[in-house]
Amino acid sequence: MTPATDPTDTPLSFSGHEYFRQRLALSVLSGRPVRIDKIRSADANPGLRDYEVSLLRLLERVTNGTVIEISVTGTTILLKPGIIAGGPVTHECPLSRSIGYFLEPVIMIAPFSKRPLDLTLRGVTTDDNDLSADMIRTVTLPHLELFGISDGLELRIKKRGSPPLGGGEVQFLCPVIKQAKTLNFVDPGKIKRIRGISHAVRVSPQFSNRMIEASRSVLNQFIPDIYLYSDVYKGDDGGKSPGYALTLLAESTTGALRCSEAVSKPGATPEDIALQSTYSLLTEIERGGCIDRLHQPFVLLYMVLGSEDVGRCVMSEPTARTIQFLRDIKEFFGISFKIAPHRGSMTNPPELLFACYGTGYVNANRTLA
Amino acid sequence: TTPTKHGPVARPPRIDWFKLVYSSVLTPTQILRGVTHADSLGTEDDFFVPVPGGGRIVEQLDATKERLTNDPDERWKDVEVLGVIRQLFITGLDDS
Repeated sequence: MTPATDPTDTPLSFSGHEYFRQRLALSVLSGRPVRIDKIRSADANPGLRDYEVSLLRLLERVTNGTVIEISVTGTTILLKPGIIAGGPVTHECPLSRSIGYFLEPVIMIAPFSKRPLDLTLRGVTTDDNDLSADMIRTVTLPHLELFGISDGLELRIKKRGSPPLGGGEVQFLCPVIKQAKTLNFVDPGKIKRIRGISHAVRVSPQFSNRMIEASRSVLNQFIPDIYLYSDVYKGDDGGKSPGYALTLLAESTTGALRCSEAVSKPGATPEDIALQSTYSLLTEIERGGCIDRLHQPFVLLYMVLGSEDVGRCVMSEPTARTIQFLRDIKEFFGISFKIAPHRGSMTNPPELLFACYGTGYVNANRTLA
Repeated sequence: TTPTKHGPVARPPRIDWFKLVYSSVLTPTQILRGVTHADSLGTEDDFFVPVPGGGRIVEQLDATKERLTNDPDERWKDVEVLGVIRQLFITGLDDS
């Protein structure tokens, strides 16, 4: 007689390199092994990229007992998650992706680790593809506070690093929690203030002021409470490459946050970058919802991990990442969200109400400590 | 059209997001592009249509941010559009 196998030991299978990070994070949190195949199998350069291998190494360091198997061609990986250990970790990120790429999955799992995480990442701090260090500090971490993760939660930007050479350094400190609070956030409120960080490294400090001026010229017609901070880093603290960016953040009367960011690129003036960021913020405000679109997956994940009660949150229409994240959550945790138009929505298309019953996920790693 | 206190507004057809997310075979990108049925994704003949860029496959980057366009958004120079968004600020008229 063969022994009965636990269905949770059977790896969940996915194909392709897209949504790689979220599947790894969900695997670690749920404890379910994951197998991802056909990773760029039709590409001239098949298999994992350097940043994906680096992320796997980082997850290996943050956890304890995780087994990662990579096929010879690099087109298939199998991850058997261990426990989330936390503690002090230092990681050199490849310059092909910014530190945001690595921090996003870590932020998803870090509050459920055995010890508070003290993670130092070195590399590019701001780029066009992923959440920048400024965005994570001012928008992502406040979103975590909605779930009771606040004391000791911090991101310190020690050095800035622009592409291509980087040279930046950040320190991410995350406390451990026993359980995430249930979220009930259905009133987006009205925008009461706008804050922003205009940073410039290894270019004229005037670039920062020019971005602020250009952005204010548009935003002043909406609201008087605007404070845009000029953050100029000098010497080694500015990293190895020149660059500048404008990060904007709008806060509503109920605490809803919306953000936007534009990063310097060849041929664009500081005014162009400022207007891109400003119009992008206005578009984000126009879409409505209580949660910034880039942060929908974070909030949905913590709603699923919340206590055994109904969590509700109003959001704008989901992004492609959010749609796939909802599908992946169902695969890993067996939880579906109720998605319905929100009554009283002032936006077109109307905002959506996402509701789910929390799994009552308890940080078992913490109780072992 | 449905009359509201702001006047008649053409309502877009209601989208069943639950069905699209959990019961549809469409990819997230296809859903956002507005493809409603798997049938409308193309036929076998479409396989032979030459791909722009000489057949080179451009890799879809697993990125969090959406690409910002270089051209300034002309929409934000429209006074009507600005009027609508003003309602979402505390300085806008209160219609509650």
